[in-house]
Amino acid sequence: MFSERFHTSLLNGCVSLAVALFFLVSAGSCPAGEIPPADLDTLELEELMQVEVSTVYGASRYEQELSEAPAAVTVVTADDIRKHGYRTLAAILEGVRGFSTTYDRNYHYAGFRGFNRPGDYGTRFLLLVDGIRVNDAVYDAVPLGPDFPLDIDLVDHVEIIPGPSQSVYGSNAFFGVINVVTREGRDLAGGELSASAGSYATYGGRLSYGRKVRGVELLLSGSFTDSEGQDLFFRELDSPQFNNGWSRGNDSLRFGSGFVKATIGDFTLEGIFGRSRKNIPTNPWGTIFNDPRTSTTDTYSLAGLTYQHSFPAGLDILARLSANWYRYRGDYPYASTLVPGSEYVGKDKSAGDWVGGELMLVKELGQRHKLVAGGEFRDNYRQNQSYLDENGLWDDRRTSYNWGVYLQDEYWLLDNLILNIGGRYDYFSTSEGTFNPRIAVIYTPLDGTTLKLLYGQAFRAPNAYELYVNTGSPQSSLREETVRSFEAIVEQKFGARMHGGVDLFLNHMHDIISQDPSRPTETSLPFTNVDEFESRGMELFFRGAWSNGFRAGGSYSLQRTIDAKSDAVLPNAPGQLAKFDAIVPLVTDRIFLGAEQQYTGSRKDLAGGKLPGFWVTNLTLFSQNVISGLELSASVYNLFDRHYAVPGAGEHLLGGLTSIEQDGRTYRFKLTGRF
Amino acid sequence: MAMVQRTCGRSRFQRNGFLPGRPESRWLTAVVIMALAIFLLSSTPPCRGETPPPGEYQVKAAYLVRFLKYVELHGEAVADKDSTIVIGILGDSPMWSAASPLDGTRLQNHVVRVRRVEEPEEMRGCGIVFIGAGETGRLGQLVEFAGHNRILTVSDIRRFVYAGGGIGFVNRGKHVRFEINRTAVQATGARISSDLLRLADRIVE
Repeated sequence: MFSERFHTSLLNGCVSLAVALFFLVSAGSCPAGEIPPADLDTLELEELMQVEVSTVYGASRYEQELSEAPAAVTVVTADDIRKHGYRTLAAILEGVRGFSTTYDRNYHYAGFRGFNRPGDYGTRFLLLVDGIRVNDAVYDAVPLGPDFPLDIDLVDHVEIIPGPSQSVYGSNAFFGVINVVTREGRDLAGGELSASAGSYATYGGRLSYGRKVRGVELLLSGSFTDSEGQDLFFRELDSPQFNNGWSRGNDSLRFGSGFVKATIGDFTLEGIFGRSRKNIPTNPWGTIFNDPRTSTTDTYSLAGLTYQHSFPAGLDILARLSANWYRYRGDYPYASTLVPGSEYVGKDKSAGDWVGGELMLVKELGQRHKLVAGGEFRDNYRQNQSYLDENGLWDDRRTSYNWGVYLQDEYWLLDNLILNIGGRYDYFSTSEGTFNPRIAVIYTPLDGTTLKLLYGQAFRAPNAYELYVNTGSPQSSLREETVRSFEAIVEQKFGARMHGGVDLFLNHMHDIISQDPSRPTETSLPFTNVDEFESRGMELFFRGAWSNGFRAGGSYSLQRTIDAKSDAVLPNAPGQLAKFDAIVPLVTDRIFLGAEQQYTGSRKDLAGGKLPGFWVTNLTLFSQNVISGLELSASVYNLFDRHYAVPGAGEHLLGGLTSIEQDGRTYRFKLTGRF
Repeated sequence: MAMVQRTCGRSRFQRNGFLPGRPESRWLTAVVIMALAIFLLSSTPPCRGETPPPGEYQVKAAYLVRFLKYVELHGEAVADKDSTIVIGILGDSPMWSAASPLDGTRLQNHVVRVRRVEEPEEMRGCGIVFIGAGETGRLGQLVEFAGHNRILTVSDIRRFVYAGGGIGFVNRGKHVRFEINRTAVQATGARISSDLLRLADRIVE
């Protein structure tokens, strides 16, 4: 109770301070140092060439180059992030057509076109920050929630490239690539201080500094988030044995991160560090329910040194050295089976470290060919997992390596016909080598009409967790999984401001690696290759942007993801998705309303039950020029307080939960000042 | 990001919890509503100088005018030796809203006029014409017409310089750069300074 009062008063204080600042700074002076557009007239040509533009991708998330890409690429900019009040990568993905995310109150997981196996860790996406791989060396996991080690405010834009991109990106680019591009030091041109307060005693802060001086560009930033979380009721555990279904004080989150980026000429050195500790309010794996000791701590440390140079005559070179150190610790309290009436805390740990290098050459050959060639190598020099419980210690230490080479050609057969063809060979020391091709035909028969036909193949080798957990030796029967994807897209521009289209897709997946809850052993849920799955469907989409700052978009997905043999729809595979978003300038250039409306159709849980579909509405009011140097935003998430749940994974079934209730209406108030 | 794989059966451990109840944040609702009201009611005029970084087309528009310093247009392209050079903006492009404020800009001995152009015939009298991306479908016709009428063409249509255009904008990361089709520019009777050629990202003959 003390804690509640403390947080309430602290939050009151923060908000009062913010409101006071609002009025105080309203009468403030104008900032200096930024170049108004009118002053561009005074710049010489060399100076113009150095000017960075704020919207290279255009205000509409769309530009012509994207229409020529061999995928239906979506770009979400920092402007979108601010005006929609996005707090996590998962929230960003939730707004992208074809994506649906789930949150088990520990981690966030992304599904794509109806495929999101409960219990997977997002291993079928490749997550990059400035081209540096984030997927760790043990689980290949993709952190999409607060565990993502970069403060979302430091994102310049996110490129979401759906579909198999194995032919260039390699393993894990199974369903898509999420490339997060960070801001540059010059974007800040000084200091930036941000503070936020939100529901359930959630506070966040960030201090950043960036500048370019004499050819050296630097960005430094540190962030924290602290959330008390909420008391949660789990209907399925409503019995005295489980505190009548209530988990109280077990939903807290603590997150800290640091970011440094330095650019000198063609070299960029950056480091990212993020640690998050999440209390788990559920009872995964049958742990003691309503126990504050149940928690996970994830630590990501990434470093990268990139050299990028454009030579005359259309030759670009990119070389990168990178490293990723990942640490995980999970505390899982159990009732002892050896000593009745006593408890113990199982200690689950892992360490995944890799170093890697890559080289990529892009060369334009004549007028009609653009060749991309490259290779990469990764040495997973530490893939350790351990578990200590009352039965003893399981300790597994591994190493592995992999490499890949690729070649791609963008061939302009005609001025309105592009053939994009490529292939990549990958070798993993833990599995066999594999070759995966991609072919795309991009045809523009009429002005403003683009037709894309895409075929791609991708594979994913089993990771260390899937191979070795609880066995101590490789599960010899576990093979790599593959997907073959066919896609046909028709895009039509409507004037200069709108475009829309239709996307038909078919994904055929073999040997998917998955937990099999139908076959739990006494001590584990084994990973197996489970037959064939098929996902097919259709997406309709549109997007428009107008010069007054209004922009809007939407998509509707009709999809069916089935077990190809039994024809049964898979769990956690919503048949329909609908997404609408709009940014409305209430006062030109100063005050915007960001609105989102998202529908997720009904889906099955792992126990065969049906979870109803739901609409979620999010609103953000954002101000950027009302007060000099200050941005303010107020967000309401799940405006209508819809109660909805997502399917739990196998570990939740073991605890008696088939579904996990999601947040009701929540708020966030955020203030960012520049100095 | 992992889960322990052990299962030891459900816990029989039970603790005495608080009374059930869902925490409400009415005060927070009020504060957010108040903040929204403040936003809406506030009418502080924007300060000069606090505009966001320039947009892509504002930079491109500035380039258009700067090119005039480095390209000596054919004599007929300048309406009056000491007076006006007309920049035409063809097609429905964000360039129009970015370039139209530059109408009346003085450059050396010239006054720059920015004019909207809808049809190829209206390009006559322009020294430079920017061709918007929406004109891709009839690009060949436009480039040919401009060539015959000695009008320098500029565009951000991809591969513009390969399609016979004069100067093409290209995005390089966050920067806007340009390519030159020297043959096409010279065919208009214009002379390009060596400085402009030096700064070009690529020169196509």
